[in-house]
Amino acid sequence: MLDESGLAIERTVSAIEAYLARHPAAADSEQGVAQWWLPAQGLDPPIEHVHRALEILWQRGVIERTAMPDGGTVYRAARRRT
Amino acid sequence: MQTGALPNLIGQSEVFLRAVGLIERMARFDAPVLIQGETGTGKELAARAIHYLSSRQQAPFVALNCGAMPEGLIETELFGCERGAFTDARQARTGLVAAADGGTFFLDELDSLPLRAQVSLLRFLQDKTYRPVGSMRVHCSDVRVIAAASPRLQEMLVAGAFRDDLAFRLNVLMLEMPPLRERGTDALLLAEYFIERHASHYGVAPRHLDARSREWATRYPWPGNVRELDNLIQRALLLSDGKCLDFSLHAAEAGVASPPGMPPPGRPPSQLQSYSDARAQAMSSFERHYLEHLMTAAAGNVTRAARLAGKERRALGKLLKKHGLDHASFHEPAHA
Repeated sequence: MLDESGLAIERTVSAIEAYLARHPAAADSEQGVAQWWLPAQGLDPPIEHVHRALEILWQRGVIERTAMPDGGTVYRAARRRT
Repeated sequence: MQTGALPNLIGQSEVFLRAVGLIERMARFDAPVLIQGETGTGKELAARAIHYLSSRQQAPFVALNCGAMPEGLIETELFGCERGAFTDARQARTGLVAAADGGTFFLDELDSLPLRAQVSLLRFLQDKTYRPVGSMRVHCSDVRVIAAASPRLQEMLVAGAFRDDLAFRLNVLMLEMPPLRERGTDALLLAEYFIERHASHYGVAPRHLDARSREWATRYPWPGNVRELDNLIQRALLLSDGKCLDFSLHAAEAGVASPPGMPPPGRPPSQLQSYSDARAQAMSSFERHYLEHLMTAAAGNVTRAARLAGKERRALGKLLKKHGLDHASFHEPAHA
C-alpha cells in the first residue's frame, strides 16, 4: 500500500513516462525534467520526488542516464538494443 | 506574474520583460546565443526556455558547467574518443556534442573554458564537424550551442585570456539577464511565488510577507540574485511560525547586513540589545560593508583583495561566502 508520498512519486513516474512517449528523443537533467517535462504534464512536484521517480524509471529500464563530467546527469528514454 | 508560455520566468519589470521578449524571439531562430548575467540571475533557466520554445524542443537539452571540468578531459568529454586514444581509453566513447545531437548544447560558465578547448569549440562552431580524440574520422553534429558567461568574460576578452573569435562566433544573439536589484518590485513577486511553491512542496501553510520584509526585499541589493532570494524564503518558511513571514530576521541570522536605511531586524531600533547581540550585529554589518568596499576596490579580484586587506586568500574567500558575496559581481565592465 503506497502512502501519500509514494502515490505522488508514482504520479511523477507516470508523467515522465507519458512525456517520453510523446517526445521519445528528449533528454535533460533532473532540473529540466522538473521545470519543463512535468509542468507540460500538469505536475509540479518537489525536486526530491523527481529524483526518486527518475531513479525508479532507471531501475525499471525505462530510461537511461548519462553521467556528466561536471557531476550532473542527463536522462533520456532507454534506446532499444538491436 | 508568470510570463505566457514561460511558467518559470516570473517578473513584470520592464528590464525583465524585455529579456523574456528576447528569449521568445531567439527561440524562433536557430543561431548561437550568448547569455550574460551575474550569478543567480537565471541564465540556465533562460537557455532552457529558448530550447523548449524552439523547434528543437523534442530533442535533447544537454547542459555542461565548464567551470567544473578537469582541464585535461574537456576535449574527450566534448567530442568523445577512440579506443586507445590515451592510456585510460579502453573503449571508444561518444562525447557530449553527440549526446546533444538534434538538440541544444548549453555551455555554462563559458569564461572558465580553457584556451585549448576554446580552439576546439571554435572549430566545431565553424562547420559543426569534429574529430573524436585519437580518431581520423570527421563526425558531424547538428546542435545549437547556447553559452552563458559571467560579466568576467568582458574583462577576459580585454586581457586576451579568452579568444575573441569564439566570443564573436557565439555572440550572434546576445541576451543579458538583469540582476534582481535592477528589477524594481520583482523581488516581491518572486518572494510570493517561492512561498507558495515551497509551502506546497513542504506541506506547510503558505504565508504572506510582512511589511518589514517587503520593504527589506525592495531595498536589499541581492548580490546572489534570484537564487539568494529563493534560499532565504525556504529558510524563513521552514524555520519560523506565525501568520506572516519575516525573512529579514533569517537574513540577519545568516550574517546578511540590513539594506541601507533599515535598522537591524528583530526589535525596534530604540530598544537596547544585549552587549553580545549588539556586538555580533555590528561585526556582521562591518564585515559586509568592508568586504563590499574591498571587493569594489579590487574589481572583484580575490587575490588582489586579499593582498589589500592583509588576509590569506582562502580566509577571505570564506568570509565572502559567509556574506553571500560573489566576486564576479564586483568585476568592472570593460571599456572599449
